[in-house]
Amino acid sequence: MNEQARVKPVFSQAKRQHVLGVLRFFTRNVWTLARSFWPVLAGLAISDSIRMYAGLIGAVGVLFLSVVAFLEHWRFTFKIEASALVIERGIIERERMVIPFDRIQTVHTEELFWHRMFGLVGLRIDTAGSSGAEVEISALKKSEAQQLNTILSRGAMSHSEAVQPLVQLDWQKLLRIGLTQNHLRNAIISFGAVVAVIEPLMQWLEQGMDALPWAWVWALKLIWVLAIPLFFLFFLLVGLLVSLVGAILRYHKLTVRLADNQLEMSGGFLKRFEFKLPLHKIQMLESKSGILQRIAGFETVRIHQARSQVTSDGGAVNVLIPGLNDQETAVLASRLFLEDFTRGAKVLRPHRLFWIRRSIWRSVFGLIPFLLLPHPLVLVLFIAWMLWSVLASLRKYQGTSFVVKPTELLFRTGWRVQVKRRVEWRKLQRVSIRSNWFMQRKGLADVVLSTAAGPITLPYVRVESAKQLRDWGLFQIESSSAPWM
Amino acid sequence: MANLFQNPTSPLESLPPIDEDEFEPMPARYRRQRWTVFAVVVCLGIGVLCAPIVWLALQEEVIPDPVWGMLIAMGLISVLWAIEEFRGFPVRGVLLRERDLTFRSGFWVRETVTVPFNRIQHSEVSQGPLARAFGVCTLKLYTAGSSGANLRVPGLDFERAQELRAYLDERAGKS
Repeated sequence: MNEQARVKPVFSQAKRQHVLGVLRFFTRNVWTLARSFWPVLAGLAISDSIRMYAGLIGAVGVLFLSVVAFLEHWRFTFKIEASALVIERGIIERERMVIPFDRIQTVHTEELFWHRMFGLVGLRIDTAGSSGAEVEISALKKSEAQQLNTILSRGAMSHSEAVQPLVQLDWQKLLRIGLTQNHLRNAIISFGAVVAVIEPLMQWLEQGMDALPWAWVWALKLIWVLAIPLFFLFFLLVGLLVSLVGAILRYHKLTVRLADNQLEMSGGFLKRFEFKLPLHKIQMLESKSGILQRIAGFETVRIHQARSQVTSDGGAVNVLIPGLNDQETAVLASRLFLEDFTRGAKVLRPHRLFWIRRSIWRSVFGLIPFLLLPHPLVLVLFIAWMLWSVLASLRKYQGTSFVVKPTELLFRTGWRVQVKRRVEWRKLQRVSIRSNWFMQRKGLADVVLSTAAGPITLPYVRVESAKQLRDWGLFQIESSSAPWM
Repeated sequence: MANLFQNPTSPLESLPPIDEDEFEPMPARYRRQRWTVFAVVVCLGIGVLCAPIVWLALQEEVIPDPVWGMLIAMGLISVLWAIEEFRGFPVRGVLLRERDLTFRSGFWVRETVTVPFNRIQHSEVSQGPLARAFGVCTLKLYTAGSSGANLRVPGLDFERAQELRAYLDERAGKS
């Protein structure tokens, strides 16, 4: 309290950001402009008559955007007024935002490379509910940012260096995380990138061929088939490299601490971030593991907060912790939840029609190419696809279960990528039962349990069980007086 | 009932169930609105498809197969839709309980959504021009966690919707 009383007067006057905040407005405007007008811009780039004036147009554009960014910076002020952050912004149309402290979900601090060069910090403030999306104060002096952060987090959330970190990624762990990412996806992306520039590459290759002696060319013509696996390997390696670099950039020096009532996380290479999240604001805990990750013995844990009505993508509010082993996940879960799922829990499974129907639908979907192009090769591919569908559906069915405890629910699904989601019944927002005509005839239904962080669907449950689950969930929601966030 | 809610270890059987027979049906005016929409859309669709058939027949030209295919598909969809309206309308209904509101709908895909009052963020009653002509309106309930209304109850009597809304606004957000 003492500290608050001392620092409060500092922000009682409306204040501007550091002058370099202009940079952020500028880049953001460029980005928005490029994103909304990229077809026009692409068209302009192709048109010869306009390209002649490209320099001029560019200069005018940059000048205009700079002026706009500067004005935006000039008209953006923030201050603190009676336990609320007040932000005024807008060049022509003024906007005044009042964010009460208790509506603030988390305060992220960010340091990009240019921040570090000038000793600055950016703050991003997530708010909950319908009061608005996130607010950004992109450039503050380090001391100011710390003061503001302390005030916004109501002093209670001071940094707790004393607490033993739950996760501290060193180079070895980082390497393992990078190595167990989805390389195939990265490989495909890099392959796509190469295909996009194949034309100039081919010319260059042909020139190279001309320079070679004819015997070499002949040899190449004979052994090019052997090059296919080599190419595949090459792209896989590129994918691996991309994963590694990505992991290092994102998770460099990642540290997760569990203090009394909050989760603290910091890390990042080019963009350093740091934030604190009160534990009671967590809506759902999700852990995910691919095949490679299971071999290495760890999983990725995603912590879901409430999504606000405005940002439906919810990208900013999820917290991802990579590379947790079983023990660390258990520690995290034990801080968030009370129930012990290893004993005396009721396990429900979907009906077997779940995988039968799923494999039929997927097979039917695979039939379309064959109908369009009836060819023996396509038929072989179709049969392979069908077998794969049956296998995948069966394994997914075997991997799907929901474990029910009086106050909590654990939902497992997936085969290659296994997902576990854990929620408290009382944190649900609404419950629905859904069944199509076919399922109604078989006495089955899907139960959709909607949390503030998204739905969990329990597929193909017997109607009686579905109704019991719903009634239990509603009972838990309606009888709980504790706040859900 | 109040006692039961204070008892967290109550067995599943004694939980207050959602009684499938107690749902309050939607007003007959809303049924007329739905059938009107059905009739207009089907007539327009068939009309648009029949025009080229009649025209080609008058020209004594061969009518291409895709046109027939589209007509058959249109007919099938109309039949499925008619069944949905015919069998699905009696299913539609709301159930108001002490602490939640349930809406049930659909024949081909049946959905029963329950929203507890203490999770409602805000509510809304809206009425488009068509609904105004038939004297009905839509009640929308918003809970946290996704964009848009999480429960839409279309075709409510205007007075009934206002009543419902007043009832649940009184209870919204409280536990």
